[in-house]
Amino acid sequence: MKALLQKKRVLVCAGTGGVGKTTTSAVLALAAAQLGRRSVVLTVDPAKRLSTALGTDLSDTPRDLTLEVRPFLPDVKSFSAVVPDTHQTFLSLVESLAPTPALAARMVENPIFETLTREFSGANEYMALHRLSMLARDPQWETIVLDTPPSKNVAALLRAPELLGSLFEEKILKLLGSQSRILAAGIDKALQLLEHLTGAGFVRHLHDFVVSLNGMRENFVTSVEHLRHLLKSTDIAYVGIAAPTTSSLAELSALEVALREHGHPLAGIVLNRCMSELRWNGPIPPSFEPAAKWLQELQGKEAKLQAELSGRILLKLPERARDIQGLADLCDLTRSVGEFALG
Amino acid sequence: MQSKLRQKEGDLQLQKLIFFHGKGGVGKSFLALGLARALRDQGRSVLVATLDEPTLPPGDHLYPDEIPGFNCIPSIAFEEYIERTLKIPAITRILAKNTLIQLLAKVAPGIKEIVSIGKIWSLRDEHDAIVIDLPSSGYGLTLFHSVRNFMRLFGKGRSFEDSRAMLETLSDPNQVLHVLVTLAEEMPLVETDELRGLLVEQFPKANLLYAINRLLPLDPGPTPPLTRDDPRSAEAFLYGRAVQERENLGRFSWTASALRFWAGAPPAPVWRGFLES
Repeated sequence: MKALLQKKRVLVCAGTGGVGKTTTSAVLALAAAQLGRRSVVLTVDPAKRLSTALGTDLSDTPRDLTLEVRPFLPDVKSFSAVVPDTHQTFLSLVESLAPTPALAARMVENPIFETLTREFSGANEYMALHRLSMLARDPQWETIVLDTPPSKNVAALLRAPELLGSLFEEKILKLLGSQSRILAAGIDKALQLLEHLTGAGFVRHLHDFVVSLNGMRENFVTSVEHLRHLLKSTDIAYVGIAAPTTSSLAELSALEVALREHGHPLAGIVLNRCMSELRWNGPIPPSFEPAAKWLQELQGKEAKLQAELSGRILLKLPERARDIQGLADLCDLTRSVGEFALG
Repeated sequence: MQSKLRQKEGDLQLQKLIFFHGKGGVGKSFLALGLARALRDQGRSVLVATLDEPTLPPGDHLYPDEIPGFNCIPSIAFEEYIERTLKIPAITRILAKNTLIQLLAKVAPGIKEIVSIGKIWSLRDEHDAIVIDLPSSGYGLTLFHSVRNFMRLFGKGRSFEDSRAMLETLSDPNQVLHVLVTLAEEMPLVETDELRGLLVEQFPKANLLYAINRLLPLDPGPTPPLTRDDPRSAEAFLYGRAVQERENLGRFSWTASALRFWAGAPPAPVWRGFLES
């Protein structure tokens, strides 16, 4: 784990919902900062309290938390956090891609754009990657940790640039965006159907959306290329996050297979929310018995996970009785990283 | 024996559609299947429906215990919808399948959800109840949020009328029950609270039932254990966890009336108790 933190510039944390990705991502960034790296964590789905602790900065710029962290972790060189807002990020993306402010405005006012950027399932994923790409271009960051959106299929995240890129390649979009009023008979028919189904307003907005999109094609394609290059570079490591409370071996394997298929092998696994270190100092009080039984079951699950994953576990983080409620708790958890042997 | 699902207005009736909402990892599918089993044990025919669940086979399938399932694939439902509603000749239909569907699926969020719910709704006469195990809510967005957006985008087309009819059904508390599944942890609770706000905003008369899953089976007394400063003490950990859970739940008034499912215990007795109350 130590080697990973010292050698890789970008860490992408992947895992299913409920494993503690956000917490783990922040802890990894703090651990890197303790090793002397200027680090930043990009969190995507934080709890409100964690977000408050890190600073919900809707202007999308990293907030420097080094001074706040040093009372708890004195060795920290530099630690920052970004908690981006998807819609805001999309707006700034459009502004950077559009050749003119007028074209940017036209795109932003389009109701399809509005809905697409809030609801399109690839939007959050793509914006997380876009933020990552912007941070990567800034040489001040030596370690960037990306907390991915909760997604059963992280490969969808990594495919998001290609998916959106392919949107530009759709023939029908090219034709729809054509300024010419003379369309092939087949497309005309399709548009009739579309109008019947959706109403003429939608078709007009769609045409408008596509025209604006076409205007940004070149810039967009360049940015997609940059992202693809970044995601495949040797400077990036993919870390799987698992927890005995929710994850099963099957889910982890599926994650790994999906990642490997896209050329991103897992560098290792962080086992979060562990309870194997807990033990009873004396006889179990009767009122605790049902809870003790549950604890025992979870410890068994954890032992099984650990045995199956054996040499691939980079780090184990303990489950805490109390929720993580701020930087103090996060720093406390980071201190235990040393305890569980940064191997 | 007549039994019923609890209603806001207190009348005896079994809701047709029971939606299970929840964040990833809270145990939504586990509880949805638990309810399906309990209903089946009462002699009712139940179907458990999912929307494009990647870990399940497409279309009709069987869960363990022979519970019937239907994994709705949106593109198939959409094709069926186009054929059914547009009544267009074969050649144009082929064209429509290739270009329209691809295009719409990409640029119009909400279509998939509408046609999927519509498809599931069309199966209602074949079962006493349909339990819908919804995809995990990611950012507090609901399926139904998409439906509203869809209607906003599509103005006066045919789909608008269809979606409006569907929304009317979904708004009827006699026909629909929403189960919001959460854990006693902060993130799921906050998200459930947001989900609740969105649902109530869209369906003011909605029938909502809260289910708290994996609750620690421990009632912490007022006195913390002597080992409380030992970070490796199991007793201190469990005590602290139980206290934290109660604190978390106390932040939200709706948890008071929620169904409680204990960690490590089977859900059946809780569902049975609820159905018979």
